Amino acid sequence: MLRYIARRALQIIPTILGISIISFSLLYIFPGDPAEFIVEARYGVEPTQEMVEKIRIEMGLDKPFVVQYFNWLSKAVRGDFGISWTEDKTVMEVILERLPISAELFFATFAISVVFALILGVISAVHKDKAIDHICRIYSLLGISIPSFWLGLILIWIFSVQLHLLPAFGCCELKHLILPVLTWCFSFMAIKTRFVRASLLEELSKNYVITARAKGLPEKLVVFRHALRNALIPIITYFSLSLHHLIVGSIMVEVVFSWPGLGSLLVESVFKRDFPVVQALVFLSGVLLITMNLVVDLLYAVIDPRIRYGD
Amino acid sequence: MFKVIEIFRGIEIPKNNLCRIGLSVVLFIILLGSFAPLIAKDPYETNMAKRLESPSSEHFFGADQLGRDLFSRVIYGARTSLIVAITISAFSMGIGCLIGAVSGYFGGIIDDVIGRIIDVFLSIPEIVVNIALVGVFCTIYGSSTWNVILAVVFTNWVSYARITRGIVLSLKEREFIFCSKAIGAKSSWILFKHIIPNALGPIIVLATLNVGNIILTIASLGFLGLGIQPPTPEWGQLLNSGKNYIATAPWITFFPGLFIALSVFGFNLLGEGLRDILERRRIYE
Repeated sequence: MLRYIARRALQIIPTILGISIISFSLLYIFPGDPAEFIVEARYGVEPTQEMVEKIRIEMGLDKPFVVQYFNWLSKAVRGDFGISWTEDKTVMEVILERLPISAELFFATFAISVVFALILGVISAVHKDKAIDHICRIYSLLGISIPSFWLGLILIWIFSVQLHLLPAFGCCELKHLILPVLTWCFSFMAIKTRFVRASLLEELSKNYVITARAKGLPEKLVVFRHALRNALIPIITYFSLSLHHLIVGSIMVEVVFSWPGLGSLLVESVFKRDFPVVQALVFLSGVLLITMNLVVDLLYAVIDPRIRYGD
Repeated sequence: MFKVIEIFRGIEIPKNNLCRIGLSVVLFIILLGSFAPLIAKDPYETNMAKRLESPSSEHFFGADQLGRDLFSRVIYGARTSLIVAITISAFSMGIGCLIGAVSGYFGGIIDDVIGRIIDVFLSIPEIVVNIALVGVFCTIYGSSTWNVILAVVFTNWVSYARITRGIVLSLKEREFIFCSKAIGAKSSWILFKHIIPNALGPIIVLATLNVGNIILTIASLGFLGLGIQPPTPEWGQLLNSGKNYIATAPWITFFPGLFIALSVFGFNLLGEGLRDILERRRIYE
């Protein structure tokens, strides 16, 4: 088991290096002189030669690409992404400020989606090819087709403009949370419902289900005690994979509702050209995705020993 | 074209419910886009007297904040979205399929390296990188539609590469490839005459679903103000300007969004339907 963990952990290193190269290059191809830009953005004054010179040396901008990259990488793996170009804070401080706000939105959406996706997916699979199944399938296609920013605006129009029930934007109280969560759930749930349906259907087509039915078990027991339990392995895997949406997972929803989380931070930073923040967000969301993949693989090996031995 | 009809057993397309609805929606959007000059008026003509006018028999979808006819802008928007989405999809397909085919076919160290690169691109969050790249490109080149195309192709080619690589790896072991090699066929001949035609089915399914996705990505970028710039009409960007008038003129938001949803839905349905047909065909064989 330990060997398996070690080998899988080593395998992600080249991928993380690749992501770090992509995110670092984002900043490196910045046109003109970043040092001049930093002086202007941060102090709001015409850059003088010595100030630019000072910042350039301070941030190591005078060194060649490879040196700069390794400097950046060695700090980045320790969570130090340098200083923001437009604010007098470190990039990490800027990100940590926004993380809890994003997390609130994400976990609310995640919890609700998991519950309803399971319910809808099971109903859909059990009643395969009946009316209710068609409705669920159409919903899951609509969920991935309807742009969340449009849905969000329509909900704002209904609940804020017409009915005056909920605020259109703002943050951090329960009433502010309802519309963004509803909007995000609509698409978040759709893909998951579909996955639950597919996994359960696959289990239901296996031989042991036929045996269970043949020996006269009630359908309820066949589905819930036998098929669903086995289907839960891929389902749990799939659900935990989507945890990577925690970092910059809901850009469009956050922007529509002016929710000051990491998604909004990304867009703001792009407009302010605060590229160290953009770079850190790209890197972190990539790393989180890979790490989730790894954790899920390991969990899988714990749940299902066949995987470990087969390898 | 005949090849495509053959792969999907042409006659089955109208029999499959998903395909039928999907294809009608897609054709409807394509026709709207192609015949935009006949259907719509001038989408650029401003008329401040008609600012934010509500929908009427003269202006089906109302007028926007500069008094432009929203119906015309939405119809011309179909043109923009389709052209850009298909361009992106074509570039990604070309690059991705080539890389995937080379990687799968030659194997060895080439495959190891390309496989790693594919892994990296599969694990970067697409929309995050798209937004970041468009931001960087805008700073370097100023805003243009090519920024959007380049940024999306950068992340989008990888799905084509992955699927092509997988197919090539499985085809490589089949007898007809061995035979072809035994007769002395060159690599390029095998690649273009045997492998690519066999990989065409799954790639077309992917491309159909992909165009839908790209339309959504373009609209998202447009909505953030990073996409195709005004005055060129584009659905996401129309929504972006509409959101400021949501209380007084909700139609500016409503109609462009409806068309985004409709076209993405159409491409998704068509893609799903084609996949169904392909899978059933495989079972028959």
